[in-house]
Parts: sequence; C-alpha cells; structure tokens
Amino acid sequence: MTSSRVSAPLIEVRNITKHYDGFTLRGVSLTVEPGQIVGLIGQNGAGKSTTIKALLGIIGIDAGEARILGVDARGLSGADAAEKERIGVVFDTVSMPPHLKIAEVGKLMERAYRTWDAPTFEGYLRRFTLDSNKAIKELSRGMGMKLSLACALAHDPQVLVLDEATAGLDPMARDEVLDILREFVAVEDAAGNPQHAILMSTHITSDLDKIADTVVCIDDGRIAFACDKDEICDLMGVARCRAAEVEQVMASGQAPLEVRVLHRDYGVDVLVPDRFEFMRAFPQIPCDRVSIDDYMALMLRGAVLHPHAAAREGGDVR
Amino acid sequence: MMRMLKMEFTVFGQYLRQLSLTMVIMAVCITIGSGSAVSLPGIIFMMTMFSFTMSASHYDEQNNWAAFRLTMPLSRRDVVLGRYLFVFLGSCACAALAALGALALAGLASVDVLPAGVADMVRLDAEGALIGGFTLAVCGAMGMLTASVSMPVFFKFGHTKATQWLPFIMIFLGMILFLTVGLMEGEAISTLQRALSFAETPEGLAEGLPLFTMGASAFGVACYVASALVSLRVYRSREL
Repeated sequence: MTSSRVSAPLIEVRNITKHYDGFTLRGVSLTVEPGQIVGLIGQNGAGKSTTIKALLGIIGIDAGEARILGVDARGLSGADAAEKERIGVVFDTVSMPPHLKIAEVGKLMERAYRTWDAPTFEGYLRRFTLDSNKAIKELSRGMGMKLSLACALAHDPQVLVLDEATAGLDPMARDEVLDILREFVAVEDAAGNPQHAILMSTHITSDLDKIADTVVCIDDGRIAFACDKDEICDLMGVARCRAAEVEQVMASGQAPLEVRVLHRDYGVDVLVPDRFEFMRAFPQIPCDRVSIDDYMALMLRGAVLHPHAAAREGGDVR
Repeated sequence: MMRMLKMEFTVFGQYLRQLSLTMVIMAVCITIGSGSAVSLPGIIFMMTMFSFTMSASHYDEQNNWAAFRLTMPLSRRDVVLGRYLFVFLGSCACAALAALGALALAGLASVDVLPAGVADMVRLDAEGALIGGFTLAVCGAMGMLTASVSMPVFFKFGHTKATQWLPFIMIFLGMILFLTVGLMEGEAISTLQRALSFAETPEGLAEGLPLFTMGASAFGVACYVASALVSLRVYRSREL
C-alpha cells in the first residue's frame, strides 16, 4: 500500500476521552491517511468499538477531538449529517431489522443514500452469491457480513469504518473480502493521489498481517502501541529462548535498552527489534518472524527487562 | 426528515401488509360488536398510532439498528421528526382506508345489495357521520396523547427499558388527572356537570359536538407537537 503524506488525513482522532461507569477511554489518538488501511486491535472491552462510535458521532466525547473527512464527529449527527454519504460503515452484525429481505435492504439504502448505486449493489450480491429473496434473519453470520460490506461499498464511500467486519467469514470469503478492500483503498485520482482509506477493528490479526499499513492496539482504554505493520512483520523477530539463553542475550551488549519477554511453559519469547541482526549474533537461538498476535501478546502480557541497568547493578535480569 | 420517513415506510413494508389484513378482521369484529361501522376510522387510528409507536421502537433495538441508522446521512433531528411524521401519517392512512371501506359499504347498503342485517349496521346517515367525526376526534386525541407520552420515553430509554417504565408513567399521569378532578372546587364541578348535561341534549349535540371535535383534535395535535419537541431534546444526547 502506498501512503500519501501530502493530503490531509481522512480520519484524525486526537486524545479522545470517554468515561463510562467501570470503563474510561483515555487519550486515544490515531490517524488514517489517504491510501492507508489502519487496523485497530485489542482485547474484548478494550475500547475499540467505543473509539469507532465516538468517531462516527454515535456517542459523545468527554474530551479531545475526532474528525472524519475533515468534519468534527460531534457534527455528524447534526448539521453535517450529509457528510456521512461518503462514509461506509460495517458493524459486527447486519445492523438492520432482521425481517427485511435483501431486496428491501437495497431499497432502504437507496432511500438513505443519494449516491446509492443499485447496479453495484446487485453486482456485489452476485459476487457474494446472496439471494435477494432471503431475509436477514435467514443469513449465516458470514453471509450477513457480506451483505453489510455490499451495502457499505455500494454508495461510493471515501472512507470505510469496519468493526469486526471479517468475523464469521470462511477463509475463502475472507480472502475475497480482503481483495475487495485492497481494490477499494487503491483508488487514486487523476494525479495518482490515493483517495480512499480504511479503519478496521478486528480480532483476526492475520487479516491485518495481509492488508494493514499501520496497527493500533488499544488496551484498557489506552493506546498500547501504534506502529507500521511492516516494521513488526518484516523486521522484528521473536527469539524462542531457554532461560540460560535469555541471560546470554542480555549480557551480550547487543540487547536494546528495553527488552520485552514473555515467559511460556517451554521457554521464554524475547522480542528483538531486528531479527536478521539477531540471527547473525545468535545463530543457535531460533528466531521467527513476529506475527501481530505475537507482538500484541508480548506488548500486553510480556514483562519489560532493562539489561543495561541490570548489568550496571550486577543483578539478575529475569 | 423526508429521507427518514421513506426509510420508515420501507422498514414497515411487511408489517403494513400484515396490518391491512388485521385491520379487516378488526373492522368486522368492531362493526358486529358495536352494531355500526361509524366508529371504525377513529378506533383504527387509535390502534395504529399505538401499534406504530411500539413497533418502531422495537425495530430500533433489533440488531443495533438505531445506532447503525446514525451512521447513515441522517441527523438525530431527522430521525425524531421522521418517526413522528411516519406514526402520524401511517395512522391517518389506515384511518382513511377504514373510512373508505365504511363509505363503500354504506354505498352498497343504500342500493340494497347487502343482506338486511348487514346493511343496517353499515348504513350511514347525518347523525352517524357526526358521531363518526366525534369518535375520530376523541380516539385521535387519545391515540396522539398515548403516543405523545410514550415516544419521548422510547427515545430516551429505548424499547426494553421504556416498556418497563411506561405502565408506571401512564398510571401516574392518570392519577394526576383524577387528583385534579378531585381537587376541583364545587363551582368548577357544577360547571363541568352542566356542560356534560347540555352536550346530551339535541341542541348540545348540534352545537357542542363540532366544537368538542375541534377541541379534541387541537388538544391531540398540541400534545403531539410538544412531545416531538421533548423527543428532539432527549434524543440529542442519547448514547446508542
């Protein structure tokens, strides 16, 4: 994916805070540039859906600012409602009354969106093998998600906001949907500038491995990390160490200032910033490519070691 | 607002088809039960007003529809005003259909096509038309009053929570009415009694009925408009 840094961000969330009884979203910030796919990950209840709802103006924000397509989220349910013509949204279920038939869903969307393109919608129905006479309540979860995606894509949006949109899809369908998302985000204007962007929250991090440019992780209402996916997947590594090998790595002088480790039954996983360099330095220690799942586990559940400080104090790094 | 209105009619498409069948059955039962068809439009209006209000808020909660609808190019104002317009126009349309049906049957009765017993029930004369108008106004006012109380509660709390609170709210409002009557001074009670007695006389029927009909209609509409304003306010800050 090519990211444009020239145009203004299509989605911009700055330090938003939202307080509920028992949960607070604290200072969440993220940016989605034209041409980018940003993945929002985190555990259940971490704050992903709250962030998305705040961005779409469905819930209020206590502090901070959220803008989508340059419009303040607070105005989306008021004076700037028409701007939502250019925003395609998919929630984790088909979010319409279940008695509606697919053909009626098309009519409903046609009445809602001035930019609705019925032939495009019918094209997606054929592509996803969805029967127009079936009611929403008769659809499997996967078929329902395909219908939601067809709805979101058939009114020519500029931004897609997807909340668990690939949940329930079988692997073949998921690949097909990911291809559609790649096509969507690849749209450019005459000058070659990317025009579209996607913000997608998901539990299926393998989808993000395939298509995301940036991964933002929310944990307990805060941003746990936000980084380029390529940095994680292409450069970083996870060294599968035994306890003695951890000591060796820490004492080697090659270790960074902070080392993330995760103790497992069979050994210790150590996050290394450059796996190629690590493999040269420690050829005897297996070092794998880091998946987003591995990275998230290390960042959320792993311990932080400070090898240089430990070495200065002559202490044990474990 | 018109966009929301069109969306509501689409969402209610299947329900409206079912409702038309239910209305026919109801109309037959009411006509046989009361021995007359003149009250049909009023009763159908009141029934559909209540039914649309309940069903619309029920649909809102299904599959998180209310929240998803706010991701569409609609403002919260559009949602509220479109809903009020839909409930009112839908009920008017159903009442109009019932009136057309009753008029058609009255026409058939006037040309002696129907069996005598049926013809007697559906025949329409001037007094029947006056009573029909009066019933429509009273039932209309009651329907709009019920919807006016329930819709802001639905917009504020959603269907599930609102249905837990509404019975208490209705009883409470009824108690206020009885308390108000109970607290009225002797002179006020006497005036009310005199007005009711006058309304039962032929002169009272001729003069008072049109006045009462207009008053009831105006009261219903005023309540409905005030309710829409309250709903706009409560839905503005609703978190879905």
